[in-house]
Amino acid sequence: MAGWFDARRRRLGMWAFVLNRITGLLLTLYLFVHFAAISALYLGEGAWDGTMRLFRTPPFLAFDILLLAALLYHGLNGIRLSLLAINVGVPRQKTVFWSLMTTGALVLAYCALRIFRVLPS
Amino acid sequence: MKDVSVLTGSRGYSSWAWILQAASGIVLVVLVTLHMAAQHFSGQQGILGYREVVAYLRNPVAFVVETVFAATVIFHAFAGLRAILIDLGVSGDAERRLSLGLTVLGGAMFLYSLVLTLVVVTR
Repeated sequence: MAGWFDARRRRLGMWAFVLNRITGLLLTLYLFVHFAAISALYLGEGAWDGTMRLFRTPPFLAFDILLLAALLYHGLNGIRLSLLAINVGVPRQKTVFWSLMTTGALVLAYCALRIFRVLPS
Repeated sequence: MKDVSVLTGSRGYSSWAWILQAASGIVLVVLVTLHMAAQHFSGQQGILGYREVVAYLRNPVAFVVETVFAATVIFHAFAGLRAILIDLGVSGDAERRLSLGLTVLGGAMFLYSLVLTLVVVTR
């Protein structure tokens, strides 16, 4: 795994691959956290609404944005890898990568604005 | 189709496993978008209250979408974890134990999500 972070002669595609794995691992860890959080549904209305009040606080909303960034990167890079596998966009893979990342950044900016607009006044 | 091992960097990780991983990933792009739109970008203050969640899950279409979403995300996450561990050198008996362990854990997580959803919608 240490090889993932070896920067010598590393090309863009390899960094994209390493970041894909790191975001995948983080999202898998988050899946366990998410399952624990939704268990509040089992405990009833008071437990759920109390948990959601906690999740509306600024630190959790900031975490939501980081999570969304990981999700967007992993999803969009996954689309790129799938396209490469069926020989779509191979000669222009850097352009495809940066186009998808720009799209992801725009979606993230929009979602961040939506997320922080929900802060209680 | 290209030799996908070039794309994944994986050793001993089959093309079929990669194709299933990619297919579930494409399905997830759609399902995550639906899940986020319904659960996190709607409702009062953007996050659903208890009664809104129950009403949402009682909708048969939402129930099916969320159940398929749970199954797909668990499969994709655990298949990805398996691929990384194989790439890091897990092989032979250890690989078989790993696959069995992840299948059991993934199955348990899916059952848990299904039971939780059924408990909530039948209250």
